[in-house]
Amino acid sequence: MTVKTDIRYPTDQCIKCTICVEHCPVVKVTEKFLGPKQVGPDFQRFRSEGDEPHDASVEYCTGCRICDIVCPSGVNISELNTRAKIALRAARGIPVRDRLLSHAYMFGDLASFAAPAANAFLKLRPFRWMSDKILHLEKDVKYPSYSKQPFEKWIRESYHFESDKKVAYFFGCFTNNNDPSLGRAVVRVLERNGYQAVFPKQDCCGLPLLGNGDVRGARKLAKKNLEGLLRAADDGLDIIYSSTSCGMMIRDDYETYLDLPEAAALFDRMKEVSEFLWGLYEAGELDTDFEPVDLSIPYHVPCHLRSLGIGLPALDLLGLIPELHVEELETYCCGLAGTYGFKSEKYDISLAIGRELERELGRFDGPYALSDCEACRMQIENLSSKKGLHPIFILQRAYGLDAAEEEPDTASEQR
Amino acid sequence: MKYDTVVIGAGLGGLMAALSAAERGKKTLVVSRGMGIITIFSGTIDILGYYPVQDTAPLSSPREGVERLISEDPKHPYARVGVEALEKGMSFFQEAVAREGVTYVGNLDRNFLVPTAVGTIKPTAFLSKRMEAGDVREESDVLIAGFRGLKDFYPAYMAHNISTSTVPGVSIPHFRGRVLDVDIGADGSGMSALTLARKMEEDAMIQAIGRALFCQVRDGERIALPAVLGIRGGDEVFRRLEDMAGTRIFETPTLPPSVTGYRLYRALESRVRASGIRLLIGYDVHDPEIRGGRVAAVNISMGKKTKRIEGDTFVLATGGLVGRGIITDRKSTLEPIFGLPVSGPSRRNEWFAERFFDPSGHPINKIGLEVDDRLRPTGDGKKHVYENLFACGAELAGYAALREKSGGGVTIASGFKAGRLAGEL
Repeated sequence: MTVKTDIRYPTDQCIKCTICVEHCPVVKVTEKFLGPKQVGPDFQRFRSEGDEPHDASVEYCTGCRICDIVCPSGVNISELNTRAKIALRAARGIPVRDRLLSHAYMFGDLASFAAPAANAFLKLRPFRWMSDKILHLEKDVKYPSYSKQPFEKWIRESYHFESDKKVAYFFGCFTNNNDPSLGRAVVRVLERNGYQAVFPKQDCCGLPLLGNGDVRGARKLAKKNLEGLLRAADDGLDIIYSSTSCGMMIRDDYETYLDLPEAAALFDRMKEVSEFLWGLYEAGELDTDFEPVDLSIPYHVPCHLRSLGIGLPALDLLGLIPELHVEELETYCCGLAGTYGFKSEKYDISLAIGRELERELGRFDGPYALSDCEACRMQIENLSSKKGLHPIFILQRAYGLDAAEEEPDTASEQR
Repeated sequence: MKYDTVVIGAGLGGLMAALSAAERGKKTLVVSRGMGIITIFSGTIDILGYYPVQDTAPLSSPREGVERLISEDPKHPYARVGVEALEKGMSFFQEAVAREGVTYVGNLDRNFLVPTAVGTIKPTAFLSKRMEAGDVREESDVLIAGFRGLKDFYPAYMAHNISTSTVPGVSIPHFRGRVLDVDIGADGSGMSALTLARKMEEDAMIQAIGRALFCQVRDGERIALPAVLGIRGGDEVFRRLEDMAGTRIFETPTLPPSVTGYRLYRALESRVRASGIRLLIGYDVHDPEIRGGRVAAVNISMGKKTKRIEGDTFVLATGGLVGRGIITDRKSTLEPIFGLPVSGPSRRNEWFAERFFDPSGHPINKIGLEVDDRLRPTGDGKKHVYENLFACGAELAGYAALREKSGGGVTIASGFKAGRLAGEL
């Protein structure tokens, strides 16, 4: 056993205080995960290049990155764990099921084409039984439903606004296939502020693949996305994203995990949609002619929003709307964690982590709860009778832009 | 972004400062590199355990000790804070956590003497109501009940160490340690106190433990349990077990990660959010902007992302050497954000003592920031460096918290006062 001394990893900064363990959502509900400290900085000392990974418990890490945020010593714990997970997958292979789950974006086109049939098929008992027995996909889970009109199709057919002020918009595959109304809300709010959205050629950001240890697949997608995004950045455009996880993947992880140093050129251009709008407000350029919205509504902060380091811009923004009361919930990690909650061996853990969110949501009477992340919104709908909304919908309403708009697409279907 | 009051640090001092500034109607931000130490500490609030520090007998009245200390040691943080702010700060703290279902008992006129998980006897002035029945001055014997597979709590070890402990003038009752015949579902690597505390939401678990306690306990005994009786505040689990066991129960905080500390942190965090305070964790604070003898703004960063935060007043609550509120290099000690002068032994060879728990205190504890009576850090000239910058907590110079058992009191009182002063400026 050799002690690994690698300057990239400040494991020596870890003072073993266990604050990360205290706040890890997984450790609280299961012993299957040894915890961020042990799997991260502790085991890092015994890892060396080419060793067969010996700590399979890292599989149970949801990748929420709370450990990084709470660490008082600045140890990049989640990076250590993610790299260990990748090494483990490289050594032992990636299960068929995980490949399927992480390629959901590929079914998007097909599923949207035959949306009603696809949605019905996903609900069929035989399909659920088979997927449970053969693929170990959780049979009780709700799958996101596919929309008949993907966002891209709507852009082609119905988006005609033009302006000298332009921003690029990375909407991501979930918005495209499952929640196009979010994309529409984002471009309408931008339009209200005089900005035309342009759409670089794009595919899934690759986070589900990375989360399942498929670095090669993720890299392939990343390279595709970078082409259009780098061009937009070259043209001096800000790049807006409305999915916190996609934003984190492109802004931070392309460079960190996928060996794509050119992605660094995007860093200062990448702006979460509320972050961008708040920037307009601070510059005195935001249209603040809001109608009152008489709602009291809970807001669940996604982990990947916390780890972006941009503060809580949606909360700042919604604070400008008269009569609106938004309460930031004391929740860390909803438990769904992308594809994690769809796996049968992790489904119970996912629900147990979600119990805290469930309890908090129960304090509110209204029909809605806010969150900037699609996975969190799905989990909100799994755990409660509330509908998950992206904060931008509230802004759209305060601008009086949704009068003619149908209900937002549901993040997930009822079983 | 602009705030009235910007508090740097999310430990006990920082959160207290934020709560007391917000109570003055200030728009307040707490920004911190990481989560404060509250979540892993025992959750007891020590005011003053020993004075003078060489004494082996614990103080019976912390108030009298603090009054004497203030008259004899004008450099001590308590001399800057004053007894009045200590008393008000403690009431403010008790009210804040009580509103979130966590009850703290105690006052400045007596010290509890409670056993710790490693079997030492510790004087402390305020503790969770669930620890109250653990005072060793009570005559009844104690059954220490633990769980097979629970990490961080070992009844036999605790009982043995207590049997070898002495406190002058106190006859300590008999403690016996037992592992309960309850399957908590731990696997080979053991279960953490946090996981077990979560499991207390299951009715079957409470039933099984209650039954095992009833079978194990003898007439007249109290029961010490590891602090795992529920993850949140609220007394339901605790009451049910007391009913089933037929005797009084008290919790003993486990080694970190500690559920007692976690409950306290969550209560304070709830209070912070309910008071409309914005809490940002995971940010490095750096490059303050100074204008006309005042701090005008700081920059905060996570990774490569930087934001600028303006404020009218700033409170520094970043901790001492351990919390990295003060850093060292080979030649000097430094407060890293504002570059404030640090007092105490600056040369490394003056940092050492024969024993870490030296009865007269360890020189390393003297390191910290000197402040004026308004808790503003002073330069070498004894005048405050910035008009609107206050400091509180472990960062303050001139006291040996570990030795004299004063950490919680200094932190809460100075945090409360710093927040109040920042809120009034």
